[in-house]
Amino acid sequence: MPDTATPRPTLLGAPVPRRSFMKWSAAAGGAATAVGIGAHYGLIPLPTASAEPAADGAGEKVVWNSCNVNCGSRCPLLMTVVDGAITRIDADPTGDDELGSQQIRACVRGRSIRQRIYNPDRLKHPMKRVGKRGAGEFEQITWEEAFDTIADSLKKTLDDYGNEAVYVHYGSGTTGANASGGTSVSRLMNLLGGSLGYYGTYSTSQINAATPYTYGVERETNNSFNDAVNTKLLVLWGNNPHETRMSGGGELYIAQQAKEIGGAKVIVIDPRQSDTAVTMADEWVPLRPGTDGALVAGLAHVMVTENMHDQAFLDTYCVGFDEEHLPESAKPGSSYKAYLLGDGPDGVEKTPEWAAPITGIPAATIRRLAREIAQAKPCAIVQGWGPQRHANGEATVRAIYVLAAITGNVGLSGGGLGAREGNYSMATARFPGGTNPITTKISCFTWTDAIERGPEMTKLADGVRGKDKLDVPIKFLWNHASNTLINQHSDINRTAKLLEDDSLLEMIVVIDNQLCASAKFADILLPDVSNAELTDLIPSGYSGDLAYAILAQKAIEPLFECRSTYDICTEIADRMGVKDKFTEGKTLDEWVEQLVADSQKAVEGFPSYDELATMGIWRKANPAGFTVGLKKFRADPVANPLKTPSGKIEIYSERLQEIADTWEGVDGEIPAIPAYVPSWEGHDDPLTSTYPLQMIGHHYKSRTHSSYGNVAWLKEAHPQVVWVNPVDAEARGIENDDVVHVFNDRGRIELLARVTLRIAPGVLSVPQGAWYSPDEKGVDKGGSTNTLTSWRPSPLSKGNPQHTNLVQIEKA
Amino acid sequence: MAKQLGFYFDQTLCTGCKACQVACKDKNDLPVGVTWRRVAEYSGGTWQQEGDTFTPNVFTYYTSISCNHCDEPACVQVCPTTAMHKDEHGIVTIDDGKCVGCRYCEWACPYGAPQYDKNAGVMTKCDLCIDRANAGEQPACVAACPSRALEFGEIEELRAKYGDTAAIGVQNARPPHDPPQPGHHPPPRRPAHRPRHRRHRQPRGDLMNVHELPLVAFTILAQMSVGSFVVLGVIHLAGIRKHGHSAVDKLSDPALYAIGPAIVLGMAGSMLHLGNPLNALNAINHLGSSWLSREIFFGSAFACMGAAFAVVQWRRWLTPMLRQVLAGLTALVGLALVYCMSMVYMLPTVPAWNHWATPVTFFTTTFLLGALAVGAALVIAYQYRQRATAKVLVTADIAAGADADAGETPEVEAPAAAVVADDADGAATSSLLRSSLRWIATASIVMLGVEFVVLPIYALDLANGNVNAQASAAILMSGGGVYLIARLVLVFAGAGLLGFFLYRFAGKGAERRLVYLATSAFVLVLASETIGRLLFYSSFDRIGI
Repeated sequence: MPDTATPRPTLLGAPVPRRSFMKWSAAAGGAATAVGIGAHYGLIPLPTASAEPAADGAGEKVVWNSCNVNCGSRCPLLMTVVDGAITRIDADPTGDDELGSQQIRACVRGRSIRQRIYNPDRLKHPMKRVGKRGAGEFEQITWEEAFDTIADSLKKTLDDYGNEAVYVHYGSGTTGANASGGTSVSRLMNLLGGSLGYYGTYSTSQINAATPYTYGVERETNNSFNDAVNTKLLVLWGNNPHETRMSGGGELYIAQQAKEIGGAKVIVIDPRQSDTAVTMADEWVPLRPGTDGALVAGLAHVMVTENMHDQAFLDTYCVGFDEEHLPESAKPGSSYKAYLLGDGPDGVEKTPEWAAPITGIPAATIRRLAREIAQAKPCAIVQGWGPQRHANGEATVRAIYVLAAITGNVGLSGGGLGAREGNYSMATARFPGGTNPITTKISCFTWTDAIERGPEMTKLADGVRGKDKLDVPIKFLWNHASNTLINQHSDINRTAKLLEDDSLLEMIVVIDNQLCASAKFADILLPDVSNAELTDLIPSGYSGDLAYAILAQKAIEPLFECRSTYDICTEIADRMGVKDKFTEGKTLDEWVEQLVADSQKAVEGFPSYDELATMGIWRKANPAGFTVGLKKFRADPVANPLKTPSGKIEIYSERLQEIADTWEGVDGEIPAIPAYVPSWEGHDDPLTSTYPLQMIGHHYKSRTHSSYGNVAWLKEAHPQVVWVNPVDAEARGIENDDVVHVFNDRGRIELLARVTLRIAPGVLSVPQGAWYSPDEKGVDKGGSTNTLTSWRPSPLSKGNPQHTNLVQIEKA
Repeated sequence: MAKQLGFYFDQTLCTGCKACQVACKDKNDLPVGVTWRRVAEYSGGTWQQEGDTFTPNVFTYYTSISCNHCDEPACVQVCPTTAMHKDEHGIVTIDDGKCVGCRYCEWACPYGAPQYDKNAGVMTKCDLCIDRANAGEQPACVAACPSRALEFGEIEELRAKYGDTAAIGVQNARPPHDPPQPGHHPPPRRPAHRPRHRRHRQPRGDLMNVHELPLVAFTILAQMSVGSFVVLGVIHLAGIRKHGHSAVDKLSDPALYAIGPAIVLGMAGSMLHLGNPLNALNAINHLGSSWLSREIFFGSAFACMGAAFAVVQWRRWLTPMLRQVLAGLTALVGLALVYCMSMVYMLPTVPAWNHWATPVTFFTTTFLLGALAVGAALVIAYQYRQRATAKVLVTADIAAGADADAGETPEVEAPAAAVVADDADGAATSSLLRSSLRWIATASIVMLGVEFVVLPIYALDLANGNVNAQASAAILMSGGGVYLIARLVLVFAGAGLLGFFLYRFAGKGAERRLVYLATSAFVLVLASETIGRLLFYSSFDRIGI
């Protein structure tokens, strides 16, 4: 187990029992040797189904609960509980195999949840840091002392620096939770005058920032995968539902079924032959990471020069495609068509021959793909969140949108916007976090800057929103269910160094239930309960045209001294004088009842609390059938304009041009049209002479980001490996299963090599979310991808470019 | 009898997520290392590079497999205790009360279904979740699969639905995506990724296959015992004619007595190989089918008959003719033991062992070690006896001198008489010893020749065999083949060089030199054979998942 903490005995509680067996019998006449062979699990022993029944005959019960991690899906879990311990997990027994009423089967991670709930890494008691921050040395304290310390520190920060010095950090470990999740922390802060906010997420920084400049809003709903039964050609562009939406009731199943039922051809564009490509792709098109914009340009060039583009659609619904449809402020030659044909400022024609050496895809293939995509009527182009998570991601996002527009697929069933697959959701009531009185926001990714040099951050240079500049640095940070302090944020070594200095960031409060890498940096470390230890109303995640709600009910008593986040925040609210406003007189359970009641008002047919408690899960299929994005806009663009300045799809965006003209010190480019922007640490960066390989970090079946990363069954099933093509491996004498180092100037990780044909030459993939585990030399034995990623934010969203890296690999 | 149950697996849907594997672990509380359902990834193909561009022609698929509950299970056939059996539902299952944890079933199953639980010391495996099936539910794995790639039910119904070939369901067949294009790529020599759940697999180059040391000890000691017994028997028969009973007995008895502890130690040592030796008596339950059962049977019989013979020989009970008959039968039983031992390893799932070289080398080990062990034993025992006799002579002389004045003659005379009598035998014994040594040396050189012919052929066959054979060959050649070379050098030095000199000096050399030669030859060859046996076990590589 990766663990460099040196905790005092009080932290880790009961020692791991060792079971030793020894049975040898003496052979006739021979020497009898007695050998003890010990075996140990390395875990707190899991409760087994053969546990002795309690004296009071407590017996066995089955309880509906859920899995709440940030996986994009949301699964119910049936927990068999014997004498107060969970002995078995089963999946949703309701539903069937039909889309719209599908059984929500849990994925491999949810199936292993017992090993997460009963993991030795569970936090047991409130802790206070002793020793250097990040060393993971803690001393047990009482809850009272914990609450007092936090309240005192919070008061001091608010007095000395004001509310903008307090930051509720990005964290997604309990994304599925409702009243029991991190909203309590935001609610508390909002009642205390607010705190510095953030925009974007680590999943969607670039696509959230870029989409408004094409479609007018941050997230414009695309067609669902259910709707893909109606498409002729499904292009999954950097989209991998089989490893990013793994629920058997979610997009994985819906996509597979849509292909089964609809019979569409599927093309997967991805540097990796992902598992989605394995079962669904009729063709896998690998490309160099970060070059998607060039591929789009090459494809579009063919479509335009061979007259396969939908001119009528472009004329009616878009601005900026050609010179005739540019806004007034645009310079001549700024249209996308000019860009394609070499009539733009760079004078380069974006032929397939131009795109081929950049993307690594042969020109003939680009031509063939362009014809296929243009001639498939309709064609569903569905980008995932991989292509956008690059230093040039914002332009990439808009480029893929343009392809959907050029082919005229927007607003049609079986077509789409080129965005991520859409889904239906219902208005299940959410625990109210309130409104942040403070409107100042930074990108979710630049909090390290805000700690290090907050007052230097400005709107024009650093993407500060709501204000021209920050006035104070971040001094107090709440870290709830978040491993984004260290493990999931880029450049771990640099971040750790920053956080070690407690004169900068003065207070870190961590609320978690596992001792993850981020938790080791706490000043006050509080043990949250797991979701099996309380009741909550859980809304569905992304599951196509099906929405549902789960009443996840308390299966076991809280372990150790763990308490819910709601209780923790109530106590602190009390000390801050806002208890009544915070609780509104309700316990957590009463809040959940309230939420169910509110849901009944908001959603037709929503069951009562008791009904839902019995049913466990209540389904509602999309009453409109399939989700088709921008259907109304397509039907009548004048009556239903987009929220862009022109009301149309903006291939050329005036607002982006304005940003490009006014922002300062932009690291990269912010083109008004979705031109291909070569990126720093891209495939042609001069740095490739030292670090010749591009590294991406795919989402791994073994974990949900870093959640479940300490579960033995999952580590056995999917060990941490770096994918490397045989060409690159052989050149370095690396064979499959060799221990290797992947490194650059930012750090060095150690893990096993997976030599596989399933990744493009020149590219490595280190699955993200592995638990950071440095040895005494600073080599990360956990194999975390973020030991190697960079703080450099992408230009428009100031977001995380975690797939843009250059590295080298060698045998350890 | 209930209908045979089974699984249907749709490979076109499997994403390799292993929800099936983990659901099974959760339901059955399996520890890390015991995996009743395994998912393997198989991937191959090529990349074409043209300048700055590249095009893949890569196929990948996953296979999820637990136990196929075969009609004729290999695991049931080889199980020595009948713990592994097929029940009335057609489910292959394990009777814990009988299983000794010998793990033979694990070697025999190409699907990796039998899984050893080192805490319990017994084998475990997929039981088709019969408890859930009886409650009208699906097995844990089937119920878990997010893609619905698994189905469960009566196998005849599944076959009717999906077709009855194991590979693809005929009626509803879907061609695999990206099927390999013939002619566009060579069949992969080795899959790009092989699953890492191999219990016996040692890191490359690691000869110390600690788990199998008991078997190394057992097979070496048992084969050496049988060989020694046979060689002694031959010396006995051939020697009686020329040198008489007495000389032969004097020479060979000490060596005979040494065999007993060797075989007993070997069999006791083999128990260390078992996870659950308390059930060991069950190991002869399956003589009709399991070579392992037969091996244990003949091993026990050899030990008992050998012990009986040793007692009978020591006490000079029965008649010499009857003793010879007993010895002969014991020898035959011993040879049967070696044969059964070699047949245990003739498993279709292990190319490294499933080769005629296995029985051949088991027998060459038997005779080579047996001969040299006897040679060393004879010469040491003889030397010891000579020294003891010399002492008696000296003592007798002194005593004769001392007591002559005392006038007591009878006691003094007896030893002298005994010595004189010994002397008459002494020449015969010495002659027998020397001719025995010559024959032993000759036999050793012949066995050496056999090994030097067989081993290269075997190695070449492996190197040219299938993926697993080649993996085994790679293990044999690991570290530049240093272990293999050492093994060959040692046996050449011991059996060849020393054997040659033993032959020469057996004619007229000093006895002390013969002691050194014979003992050194034995030690070198024992070392060589031990290395060879360690190589044998560490080169294990099983076909399949």
